[in-house]
Amino acid sequence: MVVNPYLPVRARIEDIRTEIEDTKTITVSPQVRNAKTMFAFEPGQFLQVTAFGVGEAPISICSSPRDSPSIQMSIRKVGSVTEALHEARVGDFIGLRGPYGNGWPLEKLRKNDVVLAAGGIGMAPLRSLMLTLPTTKGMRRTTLCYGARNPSLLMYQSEYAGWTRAGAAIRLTVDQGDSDWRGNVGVVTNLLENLDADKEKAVACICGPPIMIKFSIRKLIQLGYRPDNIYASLESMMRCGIGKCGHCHFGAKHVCIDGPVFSYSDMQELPKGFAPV
Amino acid sequence: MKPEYINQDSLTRLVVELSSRGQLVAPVREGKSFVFSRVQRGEQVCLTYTNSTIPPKFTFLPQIEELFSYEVKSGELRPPKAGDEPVVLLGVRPCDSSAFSVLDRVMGGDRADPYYVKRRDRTTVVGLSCSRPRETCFCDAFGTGPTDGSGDDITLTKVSGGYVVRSKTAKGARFAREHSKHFRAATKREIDEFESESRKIKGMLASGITSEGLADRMGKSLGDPYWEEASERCIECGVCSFVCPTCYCFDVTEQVEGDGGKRYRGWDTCQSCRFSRMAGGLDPRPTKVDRFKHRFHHKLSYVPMAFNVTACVGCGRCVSLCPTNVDIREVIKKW
Amino acid sequence: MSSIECQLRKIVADLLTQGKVAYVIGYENGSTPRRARPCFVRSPEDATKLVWNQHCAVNLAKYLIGTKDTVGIVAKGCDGRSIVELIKDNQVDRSKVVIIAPTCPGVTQSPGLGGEGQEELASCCQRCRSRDSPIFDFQLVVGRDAEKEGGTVGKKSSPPRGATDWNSEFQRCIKCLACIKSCPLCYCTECELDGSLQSLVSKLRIPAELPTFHLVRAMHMAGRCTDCGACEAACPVGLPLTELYSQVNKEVERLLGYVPGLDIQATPPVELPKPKGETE
Repeated sequence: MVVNPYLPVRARIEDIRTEIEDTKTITVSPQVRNAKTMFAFEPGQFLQVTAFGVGEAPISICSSPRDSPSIQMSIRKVGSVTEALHEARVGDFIGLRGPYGNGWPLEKLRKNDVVLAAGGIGMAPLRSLMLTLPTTKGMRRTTLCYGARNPSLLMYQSEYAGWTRAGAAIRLTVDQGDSDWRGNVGVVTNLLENLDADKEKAVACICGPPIMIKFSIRKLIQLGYRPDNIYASLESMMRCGIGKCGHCHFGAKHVCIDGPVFSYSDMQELPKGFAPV
Repeated sequence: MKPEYINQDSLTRLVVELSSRGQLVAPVREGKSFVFSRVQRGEQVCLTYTNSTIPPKFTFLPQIEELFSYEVKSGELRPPKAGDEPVVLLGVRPCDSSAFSVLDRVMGGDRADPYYVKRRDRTTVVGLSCSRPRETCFCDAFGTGPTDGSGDDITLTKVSGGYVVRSKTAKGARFAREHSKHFRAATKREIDEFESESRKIKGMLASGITSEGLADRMGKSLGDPYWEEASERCIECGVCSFVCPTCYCFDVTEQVEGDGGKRYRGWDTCQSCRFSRMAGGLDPRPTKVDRFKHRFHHKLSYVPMAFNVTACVGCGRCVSLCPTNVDIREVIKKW
Repeated sequence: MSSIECQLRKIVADLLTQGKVAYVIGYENGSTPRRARPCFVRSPEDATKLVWNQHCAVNLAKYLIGTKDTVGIVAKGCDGRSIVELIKDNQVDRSKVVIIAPTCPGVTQSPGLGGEGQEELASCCQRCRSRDSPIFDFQLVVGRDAEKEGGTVGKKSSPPRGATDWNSEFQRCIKCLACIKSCPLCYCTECELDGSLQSLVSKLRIPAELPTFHLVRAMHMAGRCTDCGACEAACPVGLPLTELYSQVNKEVERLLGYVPGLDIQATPPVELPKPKGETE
């Protein structure tokens, strides 16, 4: 009997908090006995989330695999499905399929200096990585460069102290400060210079709007990072999550199977127009 | 297995038998064209057709199907009722049958599509060799015809008075055994005639198109201004996707009725302006040229790269049915 | 080669040589026998590609939507009527279109996949009351022998069919949306029927929704459809769409005295709101 990958598993919403304007972080628990195995995931992977009666959308996981089977996702309201998820309450049920995708390159990340570049909601899949890395043995130096339009749009601010204590250097920037802002003003790419990292071997993980990804990659190449050590999480229209519906098929790759994390070298092989390079 | 023979009358009787059991899907006439349909009365079947408008891929990938239903409030799921009854798909042309092999690669694999696999497993494909190609046929370019389709379980080839029958798979051999009263061993004369008919039809197909190295050359063609000109007459109607035997892309939607909901999937086309557009508005293929290029690259380059098989079988439906006569043969010849 | 074709090629070559248009939308020979297809002529030398015969079925007015340049276009009667309605809907600027109107002999039914037999006059052509475009910059006429120009017209098909079983016909529909895409009057970027957020029906082929799709489309064609037959020609399963829309428009004519596209001065029964700042 073939397992049916199209059937979502019910998950109960255990917690909802407003992260920033238009974005909520929900905590869910899949309602199956073997949830821990079934939903074992790696940072960078995503779930196909069902809002029953409305539809399905791909959403990155932003929590640590160690908290499994409890899973967190930060959801920005952009369409009908995410709008329905925003209207949900604790105790409601959603559907989950997955985890899908390839995740960040943990093997490489465990052994080398790490540079994380996040823009806006792109911080979500990088938070999952951030929560995994500092406690991984053999880790060298980790720097997070994170930018948002303004200070109120920086996500997970209450957690920064904890990340710093765990050994990460955090650099923040905004496009436009406010009366209280004392930090950097400008694009994330500015933060990528003069980091504590061995550029020959360091691994960079980027997530954010396409234009931010494009310029971050450019800057990192300029600074001497290697193309096969620069990774970005790319977005695509998805429907099935398992490489059957054709919506995320680009070149030889399916974003739901071979991505969403692609190295810059991989991106150069993909048909022009998809990857922001 | 040695070739067998079935005479016309026996085939007619077999067809009546299968249709009375509700098992038969075969080509029937509909107005000026032909359509594969669940046959109620054996006599409706027409095996002298060239090909159907809509390819028989819907037997495995229905135009629309229910993935599951659910209760909206609790999310309690109800998987669809299984359809186990055996089906005999009769009279499939080699191009359409070879298309099944393409679909098998995509829909099978690690995370096999259970809906497709179930339908495929319960269906016996009885292929039918061609005897006259259409002006738009070019199966010779991809080796997908004109006598044998790679998806056949058993193949019929017309000779005098009946058909030479060759079982290709275990399922096909089982079918021949189950209905052995209609078959007998083919004589040498019949086999000779089968061979000369096969040579004759193969000779009739001279499209002059070769697919050797095509995937690679297509891959390098993306930036060429050729695509602007080639796509100018396209009206993005998507008919090409719907009549193509290897097109498999599908969309998923939900429908709510009262307390319950259903999730459906159904045929989609990459020519639609919403195929790759994301909820926030970003779209890697925002223009007609982008989408036009994608169709040909997907079929002739991306599917070969990802699945090791070309997603065009030379059936020529898109050539005949495109309202503005966009011709895939011209695209292939260009590269 | 007919003399209409000669006139056409000369006019197009002149327009391009004089730089009066960026390109001309016309017809060239198709890639299979008995077919003509749209082509875009940009240089005077390419004007020799243009043909004019009973296979010139596609409604070229579709290609005027969204064009910024001044262009030329070959227009049959029905195509010209579409252009009139597009002008009324502010989709086409009359000053930016050069219309070349050959006398139309009627076009033949789309060959489709099964139709290899004798050619038949398209059903909308059998009904057509005005084969010449109501607006033009150049009119190409060859006397009342126009019927013989451009080759044989093909026999008229048998008398109109009896009552159509619309429920059965609608269930044959595969929701490919070719009817919408081929229609020049369907220029909405977010359509009510294509499964977008505003849509009345799903994008997928849900059987219970098929009558809704077709009946709503028929209503949208009221007072706008010029009976060009592009939808029916594009439909891969051969739904008799023009029969439905022409019945709707017969009612529009009877009740409101309006025939789409005939008179550029006539006010359409369904008027679109004028852009801000414009008064009646």
